[in-house]
Amino acid sequence: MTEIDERAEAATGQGAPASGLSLRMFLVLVVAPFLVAAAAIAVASLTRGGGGETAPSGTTFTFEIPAGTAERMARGEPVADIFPERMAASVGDTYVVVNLDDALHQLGPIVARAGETARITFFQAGTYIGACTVGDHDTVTIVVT
Amino acid sequence: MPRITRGTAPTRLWAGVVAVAAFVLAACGGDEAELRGMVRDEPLQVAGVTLPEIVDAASDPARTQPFTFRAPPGEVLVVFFGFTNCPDLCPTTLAEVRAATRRLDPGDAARVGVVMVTVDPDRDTPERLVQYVSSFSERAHAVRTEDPAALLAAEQAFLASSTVVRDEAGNVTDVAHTATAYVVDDQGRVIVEWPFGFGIDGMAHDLETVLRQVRRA
Repeated sequence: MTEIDERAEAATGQGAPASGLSLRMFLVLVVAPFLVAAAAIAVASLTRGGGGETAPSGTTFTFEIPAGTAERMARGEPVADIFPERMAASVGDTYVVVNLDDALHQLGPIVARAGETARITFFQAGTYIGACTVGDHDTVTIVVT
Repeated sequence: MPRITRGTAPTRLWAGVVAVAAFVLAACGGDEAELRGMVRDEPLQVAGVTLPEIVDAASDPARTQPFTFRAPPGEVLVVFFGFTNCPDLCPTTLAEVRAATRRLDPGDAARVGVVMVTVDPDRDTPERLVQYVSSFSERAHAVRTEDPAALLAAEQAFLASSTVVRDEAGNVTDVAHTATAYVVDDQGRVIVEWPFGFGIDGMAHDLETVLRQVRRA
């Protein structure tokens, strides 16, 4: 028996259960139900969460706080207003704040340490308000619809 | 040659079975449903923070024990800085945390502790604070210090802040505070942060996700 013959025999004989089921029957009776169940488990696992809901897809917006921002503000110099006082977002949108400065900054609900990247996904409609340490406005309001 | 064909087709089928099984294992065991609250590249580390926890407000309000901001093994803490006279932010957030916890399996819900750190200790007496936070959780921790420096240090560890404004007579006229809730794991890491208004759905989702993580660890 050649190596190929042995592989073929293994696939058609030893790979199946010893009860005498043919490979086709084994695939139909055992493997197919396993595949269906496995797929169901996988889908359930990937979508489980609060209330069984899936996260809505959205757009990711990135806001970079330049290095030296706090220092320029302390000197009374203007800085780029990277984050408007009032923003509109959609449910599912993600805001990423990349703080390249050497000071802690807050942009509404997001607080980022020096050199840190912080992100939040807005999963629920509502109004998010918080302080703003960048630019010429003291607060940021993000309205999520 | 025909036998080669017979041999390779089942081999492909088995390869498919293995691939599907691998996918299932990855989906079931691999992380990680994405957290929906605010996350950082490097989580805040708050295990080094200790404040007094009220132990027995009913019989001995002055009695406290050190409370470390690290959940017991396999559990999580939801930490909130607030005050009991708060008209909106505190009761809303704590009620949402309670609702989110009730959506969990009972076994998971029992692994969620709720910690309220008062930012207004003069008015939040031990009895009042314990009664308040206990109304939102069966696993409540009432944390209170009269040492402003200790409170400030704790707030800074969480990147939180608070201000109590008084009139000339010393009466409190306003209390401003960070309204974020922090989920702390059993390593003392803030895994996810929920800004005010984050919502019950997102909280429940994140609690499930973090509880799966701490159970595996």
